[in-house]
Amino acid sequence: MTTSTSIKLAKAYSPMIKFLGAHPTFPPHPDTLVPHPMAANGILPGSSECIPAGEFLTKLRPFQVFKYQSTTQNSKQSSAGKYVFKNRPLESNEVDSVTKLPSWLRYKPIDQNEIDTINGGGVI
Amino acid sequence: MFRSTTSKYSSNLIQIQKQFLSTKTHDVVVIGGGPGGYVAAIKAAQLGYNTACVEKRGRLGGTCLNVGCIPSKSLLNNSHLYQEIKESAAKRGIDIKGDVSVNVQNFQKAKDDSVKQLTSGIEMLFKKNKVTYYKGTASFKDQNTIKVVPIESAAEKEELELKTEKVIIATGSEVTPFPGIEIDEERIVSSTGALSLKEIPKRLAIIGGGIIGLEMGSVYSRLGSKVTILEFAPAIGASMDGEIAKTTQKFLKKQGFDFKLGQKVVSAKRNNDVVDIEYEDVKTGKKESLQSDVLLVAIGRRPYMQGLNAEAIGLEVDKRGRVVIDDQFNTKYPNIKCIGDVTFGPMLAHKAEEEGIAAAEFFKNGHGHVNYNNIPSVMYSHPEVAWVGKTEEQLKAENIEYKIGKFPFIANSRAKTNMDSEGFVKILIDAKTERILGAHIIGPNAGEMIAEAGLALEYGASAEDVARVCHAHPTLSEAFKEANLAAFSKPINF
Repeated sequence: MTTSTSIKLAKAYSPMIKFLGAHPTFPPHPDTLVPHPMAANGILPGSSECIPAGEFLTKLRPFQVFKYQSTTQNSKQSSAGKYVFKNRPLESNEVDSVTKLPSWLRYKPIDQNEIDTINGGGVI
Repeated sequence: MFRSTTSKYSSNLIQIQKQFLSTKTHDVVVIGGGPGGYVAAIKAAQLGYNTACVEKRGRLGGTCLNVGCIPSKSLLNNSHLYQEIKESAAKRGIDIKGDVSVNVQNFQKAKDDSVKQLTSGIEMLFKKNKVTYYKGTASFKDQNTIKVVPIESAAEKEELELKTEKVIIATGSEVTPFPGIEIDEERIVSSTGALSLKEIPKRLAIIGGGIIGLEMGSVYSRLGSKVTILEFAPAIGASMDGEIAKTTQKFLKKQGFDFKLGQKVVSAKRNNDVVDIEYEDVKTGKKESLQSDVLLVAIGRRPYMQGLNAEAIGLEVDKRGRVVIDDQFNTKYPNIKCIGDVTFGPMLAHKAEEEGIAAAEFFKNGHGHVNYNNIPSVMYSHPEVAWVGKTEEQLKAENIEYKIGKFPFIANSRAKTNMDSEGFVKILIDAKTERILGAHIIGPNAGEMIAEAGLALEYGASAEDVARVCHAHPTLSEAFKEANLAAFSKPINF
């Protein structure tokens, strides 16, 4: 057995279970504070690495359950479609009829020659 | 004048009566009724202490019984049965006429019934052991005084002060939220919500490749969901032996899991009935997106002590919020101990139970012990995965020479007859002394079998010690014996 292995095994936990015979006498606890076996970096209660619980909790984002607000509830869809009529006065750049648009924005009627061309299948 | 004196006298008497009625005295007060707390309370009572336990949930059992271990095991067991019936009934000679389907309502009811029976069972244990149970929120007034504000369902509506010499804090843990992701417990859920989904999602995405995520993924995968695991680390199962983790991933992949490892979730937003998730590769930064019907956030748990008023007595925590204790579970006050998920060590119910017993024994005898090198872990997938002691990676890091013994369940007669032979037992032993250092099992009943490994570790057994114990035939435990045989010699049946 190599020294390193035996040292490692000796440092391993010694069973505190009760075998047949006398109950083992438990070794007295040292007078000094001993860190918890699972404590990170051997942190001890009252040491400088400790953080007051109150201070930690004020910085902690609490676990919350958020009630979901559906986006479809806000749009108030009408039976006609996704556009909803809102009765309001016209703004400065709006008109309420195509006939009130400036002439350059209106559809121009097609002349008779163009009608005949379309009806003739493009051949005059 | 006579009347006013009488009124003043009556008023003082009422005040005195009120004060007298609202203060109770106990030798030990345990704050929290989860696995750590209720076990500590029962043990303290058995050791002769006048003991009280305060729990604000309204039911005993903590996270484990109510929204953790127990309900998830019910879902895992019943979903496994469903899958077995659907997929292997015919080859077992069982013909089923008609369709086999899941009744989600009854599925949830079976789970809820188990939980209710067990939580009531603990109340019965409290009565049997004469533990006084207060349904309320406990907070420190000072080192020896606990204020209890009753919850709505409590029979006693009056606030109380408990005077005590000894306190055990067992307030447990809560889900760790994912920054930027809002959990609504409907479409974006924590493990709590995942246990109570009203319908089986077609697509389930899970952030976190740890035990909770993989177990819940197993449940819904068996019920028909397409499960995707998004994990930050390059491998799943953080504390598992590397070979075991790889094998686990393989069998879960065979079951239909899609693993996206080394991925960082950037955002997840619910859009009505779907959840849109964006994630990026940790190494390359390549962005991708995924849509699911439900997203489970399972990135872990964190210590919980809200409402305890720990600041009133200057209790201290470390940078991860764990209450700082010494090897006797003492906080900075020797009369206030702390156990379970809220302090150091793995967040496991059985670890908390061991600490509960040890803390009570420390108070009574000045001695108690927990062997942190011998705390088993179990994942209740199918096949189950269980391990205790050292992994190969830990032994390599500690420069300990070791030998391996492996035995597959395909060579175990009981596993073959059960048509359930996926997995193996792996034993790690010291190369020189052959002392068992670690045991890792993937296979049927791994969670039960690991107890034998724990006993062997505790007794300091060698592989030969276990191999020379007669194990009943035909049992799955023969695989454990044969793996030990393989470790120091050669197996017989493989």
